[in-house]
Amino acid sequence: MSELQDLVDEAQRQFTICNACRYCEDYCAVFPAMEERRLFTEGDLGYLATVCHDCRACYQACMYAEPHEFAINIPQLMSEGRVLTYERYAEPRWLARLFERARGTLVAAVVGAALAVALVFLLATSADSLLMGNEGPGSFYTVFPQAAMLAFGLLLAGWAILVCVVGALRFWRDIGGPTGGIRGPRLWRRAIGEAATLRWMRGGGGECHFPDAEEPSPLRRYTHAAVAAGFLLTFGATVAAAIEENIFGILPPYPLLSVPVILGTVGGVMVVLGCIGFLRMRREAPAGLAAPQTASLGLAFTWSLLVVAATGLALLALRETDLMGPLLLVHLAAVFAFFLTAPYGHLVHAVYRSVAIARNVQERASSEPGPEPRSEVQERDTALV
Amino acid sequence: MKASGPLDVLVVGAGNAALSAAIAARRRGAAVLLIERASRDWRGGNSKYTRNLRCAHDPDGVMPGAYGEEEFFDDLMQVTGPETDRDLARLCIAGSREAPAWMEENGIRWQPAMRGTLHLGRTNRFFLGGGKALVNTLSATAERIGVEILYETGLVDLAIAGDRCEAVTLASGDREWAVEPRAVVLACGGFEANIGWLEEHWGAAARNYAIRGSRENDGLPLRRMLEHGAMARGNPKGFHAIAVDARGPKFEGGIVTRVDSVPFSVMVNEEAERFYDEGEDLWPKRYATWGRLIAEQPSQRAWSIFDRQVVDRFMSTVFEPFEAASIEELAVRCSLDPAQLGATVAAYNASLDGGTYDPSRLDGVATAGIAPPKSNWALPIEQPPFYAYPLCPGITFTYLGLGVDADARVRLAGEGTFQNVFAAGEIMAGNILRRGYLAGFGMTIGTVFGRIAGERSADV
Repeated sequence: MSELQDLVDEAQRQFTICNACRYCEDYCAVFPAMEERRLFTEGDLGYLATVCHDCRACYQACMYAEPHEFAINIPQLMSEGRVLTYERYAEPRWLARLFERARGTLVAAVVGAALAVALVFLLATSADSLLMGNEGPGSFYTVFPQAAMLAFGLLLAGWAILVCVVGALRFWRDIGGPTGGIRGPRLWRRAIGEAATLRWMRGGGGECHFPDAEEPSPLRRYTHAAVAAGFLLTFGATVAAAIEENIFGILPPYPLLSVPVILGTVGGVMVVLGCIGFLRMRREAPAGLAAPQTASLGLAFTWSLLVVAATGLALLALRETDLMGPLLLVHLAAVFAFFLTAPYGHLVHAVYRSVAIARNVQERASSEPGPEPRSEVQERDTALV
Repeated sequence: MKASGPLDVLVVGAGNAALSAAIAARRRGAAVLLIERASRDWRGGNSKYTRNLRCAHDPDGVMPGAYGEEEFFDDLMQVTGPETDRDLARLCIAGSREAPAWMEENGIRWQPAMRGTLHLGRTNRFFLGGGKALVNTLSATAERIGVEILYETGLVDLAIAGDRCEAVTLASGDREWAVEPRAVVLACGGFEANIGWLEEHWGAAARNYAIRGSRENDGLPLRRMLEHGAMARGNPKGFHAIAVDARGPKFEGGIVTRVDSVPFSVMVNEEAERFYDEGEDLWPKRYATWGRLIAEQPSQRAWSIFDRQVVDRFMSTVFEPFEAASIEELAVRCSLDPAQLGATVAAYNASLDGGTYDPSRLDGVATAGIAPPKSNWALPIEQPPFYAYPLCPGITFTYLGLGVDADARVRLAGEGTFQNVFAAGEIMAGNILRRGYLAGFGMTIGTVFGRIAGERSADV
């Protein structure tokens, strides 16, 4: 808890300076929201930190960044605020803490364990089917029984969704969201639009200073769009496959020119390229502008997503060979690991950011027409010279 | 240094005026070297603490309403008085019309039309992210088009023969070397960070001033040029100062240490006595007088004393005010004499004769029978907790500069000008701004005369 308190104290110090300056108020929604507050709680920090999309424009523009004695570093502070937020709202706590300590190792361990369990299970039941190049409808299920796959999938997805929903609701309450949620289609559209287009990663139009601090570019936004859209396409492929199988009774594998395969292939390629892009950006980005834990969070997430997508594509390419069985096993283990770790990993940023953006949209709407207009006596010319 | 062929233009400084000059000269084909005394981290002089520039304009997407050149000129005359160089002032104002487009061409972005706390939307254009973002953008543009920039490199002296600069001695660390540019642009600010120079005029009191901008502005190139026979312009003692929190940094405090509580408070000095009318006029018209008023007090210190009923009425600052349950306790926090502060506040409270308080106008809610009076917004200080900001003068810039002509050429103290020495920005602002200040006008002078100096120096 003291780590959190230290962070809240540091946020109070830095935000007080920001509120006395306000030069950054048109970079994103963070600074106008900050200006509405004078004393900052944990909830405020979590809220502002998750509205922050880490474009780093404010850091580049800050005359109070180090070596100035005020040592303002909003990207770093917000990054730490996000890490602590993600940890705070993940349940159960003991599992979350386990992941905090050794994220990368744990993801790998889960993959390994899943593989081992599946192998033992398969070898004990039907060793033949694993290495026999099965073809035709239902061949996947000769490797792994359909019911087991389905049960596993539903259980995992249900778990991930439950943890995220519980966390999201608690977060909404803690950041001052009204019990009724946000009201009206206009606000919903605005919130979804701002979240989906990464509006606050644009640096007020000047674009994102990541990975290159001095050459802002939309690269990160585009890369993110590729991964997010690819992820949704592969999800769409799963849904399409479920429809084909359960409504039309067509068993996988599906032909190359079928909806699940096309969606899955396009999505998978986008995810692979996007993840590789993120791994490269991460290597180029300057140090000192993010919480140390961010690297392990991001790396574990990117790698596990990359493995899922890459093994999925490999499975598609090699599904008519002897490698189908082992590949399917590896792919399923990777998917298993991805979803099991999802509520404790970087994926939750999508959840908390969306919640924070919704709160922000709602807050902006409710502050129109705004507090009492400032009088001329209070007018402040912030031009120094 | 890099031996990259003959040097056409040497630009001294790295703020808005210097970068504008370097870009303008380079775009005219000159080989340009820009030297900055500060390290790369601290580059940009006082420009990095600015936020907007004032410009004449017709209504557009960024700025609502029109701001004509005549109105601009009248605003300037109101603050600076008739002895300004009117031709240069008009030249500057006319140039301000084209400045935004030129800045945009060089990468500057603007804030959308103003909202909230700022009311300068009609006259001033705000650059997105403020001055440091502007300095970053202009520096990147300058480097991209081929301006060479050397950091931690200062001017030692100029070799002047008659009305020509033959060479310039530069220094970086222990190294000294000479360059022979065809022209020199001095755009390196005033001397406000040179405490010794300030002491020549203000004595030991100068040690108690805070310098709001760059610690590098020691005015050495200005002094050298004056020694070489350049014309001085502007009051040699003059500086622009405001009230800042005395707990702030000695240098580079920028905007955030500024305290706007004065009209809502009573101001007392080290003797816990009031010394000037806190409600004399609307704050935007008076904020710049308080730096000088505090500078005249013992130890150059003052305290702004107020209570709970006004604590939320002005923008928060970087430091929390001192807080106490009684005036006497507050005095102890401020190291003031509790009995005297109690007596001063009591006398003030007893002098109030009521009226309808209205912070948006001169409300005439005043004291009666005490000296000095408080002519407006005189609310009793009676609701605990009580608060105090410790204040000292924060110097923004000095007025003394080099006389220039319409080509930004530095004038000789006698007749004529230097052939190849130009000046832009604060170092020549004294031609136009003899006293007072118009928000954003320093950046206007820097951009307009930076461009002129850059273009003319490239033609030398």
